[in-house]
Amino acid sequence: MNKQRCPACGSIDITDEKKSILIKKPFGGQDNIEIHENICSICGSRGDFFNQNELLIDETIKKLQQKSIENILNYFIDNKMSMSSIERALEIPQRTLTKWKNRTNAPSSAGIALMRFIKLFPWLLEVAENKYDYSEAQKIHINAAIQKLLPEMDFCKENFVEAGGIVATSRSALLYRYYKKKNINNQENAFNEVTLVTSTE
Amino acid sequence: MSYYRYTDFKKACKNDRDNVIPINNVLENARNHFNLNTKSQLIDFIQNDGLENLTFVNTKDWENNPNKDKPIKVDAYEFTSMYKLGYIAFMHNDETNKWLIKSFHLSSNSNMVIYLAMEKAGLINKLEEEHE
Repeated sequence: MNKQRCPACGSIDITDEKKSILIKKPFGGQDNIEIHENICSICGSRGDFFNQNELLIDETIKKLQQKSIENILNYFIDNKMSMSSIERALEIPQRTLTKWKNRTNAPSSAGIALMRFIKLFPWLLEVAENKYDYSEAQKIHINAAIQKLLPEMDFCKENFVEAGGIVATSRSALLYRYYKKKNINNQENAFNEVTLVTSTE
Repeated sequence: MSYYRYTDFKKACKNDRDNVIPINNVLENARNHFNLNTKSQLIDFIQNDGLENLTFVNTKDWENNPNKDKPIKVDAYEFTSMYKLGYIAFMHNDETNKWLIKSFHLSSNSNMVIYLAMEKAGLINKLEEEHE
């Protein structure tokens, strides 16, 4: 029987040890698994010399990806987003998401990536509803950004945005500035100004 | 000049995958920094020209070679992939007939990513003209 050899230096002085690694997937949590690690006593190289870990890592990833899909779909349900309307907007066959959730079918990598994006940016569904029209998509995108930004701004605070700035895309911009101005009685007043400029084409 | 022909390494990734072995922290880095979770995914990525803008860095002797009479050369390259700048080093042992991927990680020259992106967009020349 051929002795197993270190692929780097050819030595037969190799050991097989267990090593714990953490596999994480977005929205799917994490899992600690034990894999084989071969170590060469002569050259110090280490790794999976004989392809023993591939299947275990693959299965763990599939398990976490299934979990992430279930978590995402439960999030949609909890936030009153019907799976039927999501399927309609994205033009994917009805009951696809239910089948993913119930494990009747496994989602593809593309399907998983899509669900992650929808979870992070639900406004993408509105873009789909508007048939991916570029102008509409830009408006939806900017509106979503402003809705996120506005609650963070306290317009009543005196020291709001001390200097000024801009949040912009190629067709729209939100400008904000702070300045002081003397009134007719020579009293200095502070102003916070927010302007939204957007193309209507 | 590189010691190995990169095309030979790439060909091995396509036709002789059992003889391409990632060692040390290669798979961990591939998983953590490049979303390449398994040896198969890493090798698929390489053979599918995933290493873009490949730039030869240097050739060195493998420092851990126990047989100093028969030095083994290691070729190192930088590459880009989307917004990332990576580094790969590999070697071939004629005795074991194995390609070893010795290093695979983010390059420390990360500023180059922005530079390369701007160069691709034609902005570097534009900036240079403005400053002349």
